[in-house]
Amino acid sequence: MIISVRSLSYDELKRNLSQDDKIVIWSCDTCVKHCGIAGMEKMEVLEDLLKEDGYNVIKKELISESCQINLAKKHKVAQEDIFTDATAIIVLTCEIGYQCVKTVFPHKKVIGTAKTFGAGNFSNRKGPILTSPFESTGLAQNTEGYTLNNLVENFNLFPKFFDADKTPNPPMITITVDGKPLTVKKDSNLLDALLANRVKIPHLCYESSLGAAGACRLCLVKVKDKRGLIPSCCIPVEPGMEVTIEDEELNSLRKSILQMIIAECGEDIQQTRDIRYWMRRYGITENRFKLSEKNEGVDDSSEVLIRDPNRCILCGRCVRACANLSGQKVINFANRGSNMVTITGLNEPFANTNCANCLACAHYCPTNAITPKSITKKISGYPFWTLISYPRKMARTS
Amino acid sequence: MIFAKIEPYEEIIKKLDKKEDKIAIISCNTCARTCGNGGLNKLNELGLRLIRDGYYVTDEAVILYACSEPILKEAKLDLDANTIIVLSCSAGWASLTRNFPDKKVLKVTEDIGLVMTDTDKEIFKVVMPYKNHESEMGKEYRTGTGEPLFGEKIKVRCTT
Repeated sequence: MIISVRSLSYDELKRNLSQDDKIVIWSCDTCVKHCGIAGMEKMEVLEDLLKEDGYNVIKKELISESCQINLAKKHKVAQEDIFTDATAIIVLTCEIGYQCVKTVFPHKKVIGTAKTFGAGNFSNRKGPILTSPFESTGLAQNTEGYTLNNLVENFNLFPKFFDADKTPNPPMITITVDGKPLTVKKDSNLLDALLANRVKIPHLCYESSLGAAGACRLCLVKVKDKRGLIPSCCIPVEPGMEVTIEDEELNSLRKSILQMIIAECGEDIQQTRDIRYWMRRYGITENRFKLSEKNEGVDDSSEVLIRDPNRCILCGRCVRACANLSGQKVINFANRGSNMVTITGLNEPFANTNCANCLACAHYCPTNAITPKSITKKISGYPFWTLISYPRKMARTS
Repeated sequence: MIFAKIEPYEEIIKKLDKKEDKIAIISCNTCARTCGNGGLNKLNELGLRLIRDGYYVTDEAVILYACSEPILKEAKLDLDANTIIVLSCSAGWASLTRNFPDKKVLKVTEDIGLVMTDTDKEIFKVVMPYKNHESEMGKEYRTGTGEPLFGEKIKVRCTT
């Protein structure tokens, strides 16, 4: 991974902006996110800070890999109206991502926020570490790595994200959840507000980076003075809102939905983290629905991804990730009603599509229907035919 | 994304001992694959050649990111080998060196610099080279193979 550290203070960032600017915050979802200075959560923090100081943030744009210039161009085309209006783009990416954005938007004010030091690792013990620094840093290659704190101290940079300089103080409102008052951020959706307050509520299709779809129906709640059951991911919070998130009817409904998902997608998906947690929480030990007998072929044609349609619960996260984060629209829904499936390209193998291999779909899939390809094998000699084809293959080696 | 070039095969085998070394080849499937020195194809290519030349290859693995310890742990590599060849950038090599302290971990690539990619045109371009490779600045290569290209297909309008 590429190691970057914040190079701009919040005051310096404000000095680069004017109150009339229409601001887009642009963030990469890969290496810099792991360095703690990018991602949807950080964009929301920066948006709160800027709005508090009277700036006009018109859009938050998350991109799966900002060093892929073709993806940046596709984001520009997809959001043409917004980018035509925008006058400033704050870029939460490494310096390569900054160069891509500056190239795609040559006439806009593009503000970079990070300094890139070279390549490094994500260590379980120390978090992101720099192991292969650029020579210009004066640091030697080090397998143990330099932590981000080392870099901040040695190069007079800024620790963590902009909220380390100034704590955001967004407007809050009070709602009632199961009879208890809860203070939540104004204008957030109900599910986000509950999760931010550590209230656990099952959800599979919602992810704040991808937006709401209301597809899985697991996050249904009751809201006083509103008819029927409402998916909490699709409703904004309002002052004085009275919400019921747990009662016999809701729990029974969620239990049934979970059982239906498992029946449709096979018992394998019980091993995925979220489903296992909620099965335990609702005490599901056996399934009252008949297990589906579908047995579709696994697509392992891609160099990077494996797609098992049997595990797909049609939550649409991969579809939204591919469209919104990468801008490629390789994965989509086909057919309607009970025949609905997800397909790649024009219902062709992954390898035949123009997949950018950005892995956004795999990162956000809740049931491991799309997973990164990982192969481990013990060698006990190659079959004879493989050795025959060897000289032709070797013509391509270094 | 980082671009590292793989050493010629003759240089790699100079680091190996035919009698003593039991070899594992671990290949990174992200930057290294894009830049033509990792992924399944390169792994098979090197593995076959070593086996044909009489080296004892015991394990082969393709992992998503060689530079990420959580991914390494998830891969649950149980290696019979005492020597590891890492097809990745130097960050991947550093990660494996730390995680397999009892094995000889061979570095067979050299970092060239950070690159910008265009997966539609199947090109990557060096935009932030390491000092020893400053002459590579602006050079373009074919993704997947690392084959050098001529002419400028990605126009970069700024430098850092």
